[in-house]
Amino acid sequence: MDPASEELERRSRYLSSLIRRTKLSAVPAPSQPEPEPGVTQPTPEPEPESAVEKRGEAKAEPVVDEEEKREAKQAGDGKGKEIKGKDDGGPKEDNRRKVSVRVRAADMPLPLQRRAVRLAYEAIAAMPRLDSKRLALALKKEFDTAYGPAWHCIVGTSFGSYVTHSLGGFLYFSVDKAYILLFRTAVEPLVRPR
Amino acid sequence: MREQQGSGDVAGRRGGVIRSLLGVERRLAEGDAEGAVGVSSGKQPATEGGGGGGGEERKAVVRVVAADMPPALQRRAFRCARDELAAMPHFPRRLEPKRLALALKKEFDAAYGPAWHCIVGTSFGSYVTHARGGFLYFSVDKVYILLFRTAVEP
Repeated sequence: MDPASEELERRSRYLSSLIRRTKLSAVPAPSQPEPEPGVTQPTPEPEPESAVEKRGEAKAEPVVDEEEKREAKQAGDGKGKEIKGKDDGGPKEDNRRKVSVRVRAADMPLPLQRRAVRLAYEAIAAMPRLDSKRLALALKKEFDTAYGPAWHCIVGTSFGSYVTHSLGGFLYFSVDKAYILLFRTAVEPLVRPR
Repeated sequence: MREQQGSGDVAGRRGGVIRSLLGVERRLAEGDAEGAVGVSSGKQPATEGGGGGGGEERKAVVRVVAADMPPALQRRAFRCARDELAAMPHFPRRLEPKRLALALKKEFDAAYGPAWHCIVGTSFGSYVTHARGGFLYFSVDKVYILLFRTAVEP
């Protein structure tokens, strides 16, 4: 049986070769499904509204100038950033909207600034609508009474100004959409006759 | 060019210092602004006509809301304000309140001595203490101008 045995061995070798070929061709096949499309889920974080800004810029001014010119301008209505601001004991009774407070320019001791801002904040919170005259009156009255004359107050949403004020007597800030200018001038003694 | 003179000085409670209150709250119509509430209330509209300079095609309407100031000073303020407004860009028309306030204050400080203060805008309320004879609140077109003087400590 040599030819039969030889034929059998030849066939067996052929099958082995075929099997080996199949294995080689099957190797890249599982590699293709391996790179599965990994769908990453990016979590978009909302921007936190924690920007609280309330700064009092106290400048060091030369003592030579007894009076100084200061200007405050607000061009355009509704201009300004809506930033959450906390006041010293700011009451939120029925006023649930967030009112922003921002000091734009100041030449005034901090206690006075806080007092002005607090008074303005409370007054605006108590008003259903901005009453410029009433707010100006309230601020001037309080400061005239507490710190002596003469104080001047301008309240509005659209105005420009150019004033001369005493040292340490100037504050320009905004509460919500109202801009408030509070400044002091020296007072002439009343002894002088007319 | 004629203008009606404001009412006489109302004697203030503090001698030479008179307190006044003014306010314009979003009323841009040519009608009446809210009247002055206070000691020096003298609301008398005085329309100034006539063309001082020949350059302007459309003369600006000047209306005095309240005044405690000599007529000569008032006229000077009107002229200065109108000239400054005319010098500002017209198309598109843009108001520069700070510039106008600066011009008025500078002129009055130089001409009549310190210290003058000027507020210019379309929507503001105020409460100030001014010297006797040093207060003017008027409007040119639709811009309201508050010009007042405070005493200077010797």
